[in-house]
Amino acid sequence: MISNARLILTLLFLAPRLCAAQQAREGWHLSLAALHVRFSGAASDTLAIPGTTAHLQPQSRLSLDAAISRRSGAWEVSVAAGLSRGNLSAESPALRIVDRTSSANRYRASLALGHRVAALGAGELVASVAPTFDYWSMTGLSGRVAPGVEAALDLRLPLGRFELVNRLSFGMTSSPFHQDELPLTSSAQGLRAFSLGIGARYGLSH
Amino acid sequence: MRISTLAALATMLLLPVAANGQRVREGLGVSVSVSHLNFAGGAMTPATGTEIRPANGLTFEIGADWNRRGWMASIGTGFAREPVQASDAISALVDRTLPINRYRLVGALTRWLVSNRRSRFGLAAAPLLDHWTGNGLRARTVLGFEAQVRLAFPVGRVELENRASLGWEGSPFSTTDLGSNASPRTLRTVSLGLALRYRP
Repeated sequence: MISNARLILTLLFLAPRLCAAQQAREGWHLSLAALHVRFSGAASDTLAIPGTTAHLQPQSRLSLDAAISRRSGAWEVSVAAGLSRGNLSAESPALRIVDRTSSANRYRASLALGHRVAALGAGELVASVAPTFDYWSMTGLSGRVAPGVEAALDLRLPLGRFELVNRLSFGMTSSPFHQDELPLTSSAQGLRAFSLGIGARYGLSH
Repeated sequence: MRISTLAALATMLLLPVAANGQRVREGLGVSVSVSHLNFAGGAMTPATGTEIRPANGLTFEIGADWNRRGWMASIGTGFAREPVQASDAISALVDRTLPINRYRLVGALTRWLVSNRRSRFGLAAAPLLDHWTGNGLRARTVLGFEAQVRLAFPVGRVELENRASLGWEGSPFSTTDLGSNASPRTLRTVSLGLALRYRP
């Protein structure tokens, strides 16, 4: 009974909140996002399977990112940290094998510069670019720092003091592998990451 | 079901839609959506603990809906094409030469619980019919159900909608496809998606 009463109260509480006027977007914001990241690149081997190219790369996975940002006019600067944990996968055009006993975890720090590019009703579209610094921790391999760059497009939709964020991003970093840790037939390559996800922003300045 | 639970559900459904300012457009709408699917279940080999299912991926849907007085009835059709994945605690193996196709027909009834000129929030119940085909698989049609959460934002005649859903349906595999070692299991789906709706 108590939990049901709480549910009803939550709904009653939520209604006026959602009806509240949109908060100004200036000032400090905190944001959290969950992104599905799909990797390609990292290392390739043309000799392991004759006639085809096999890739060794981190498995596609979920990344959790947190950021603090400062908005001034159409511009904003944000500092973000992210964590994504997963396994390694080997892929060919015919097959993908994920080794679930391995780990390939990414710890990310980034500094982004964003700019509002369009207004969409009460929402807005914000484009950003960020230098990124990834630390890869992998089973049986030494840790590696991989610098890179990421471009992102955020669709932000107001929900009272919060904003719902739909994010699309594309990033490139150096390989998470050292060449000398790979088999002789393999070569380290840049890692590309395509991400799609959802998050929330909270205005701190009001 | 306890009376208090029924009372809570009734309150949710009968709660007047909170309105402020501009009314949400009513009438007919058409939508397109893309969602990311995460599957679980499908089939299981009990001896080895191997799960066989479609690999995670994207689905695309188009639909039409009728929106009136805080309710929305919709019908849609969708397509997904993913390879088969077999996984256990040690590894996961995806055979990219064996894609299976999912053709979906879905109806949904949405109750908008909170609505104002900037956003609206609702819950939906969606019975569905999925037709699965693939190389080496017998075509199979299964019944299912999805529970959805929808958060929509009007931008003029267009509405952007974020949706999350939990789905259950019959296995896309038949016992004939699987052989004697594996058995079909209910396929569970968690999906997150984005839809664009146009209301003339």
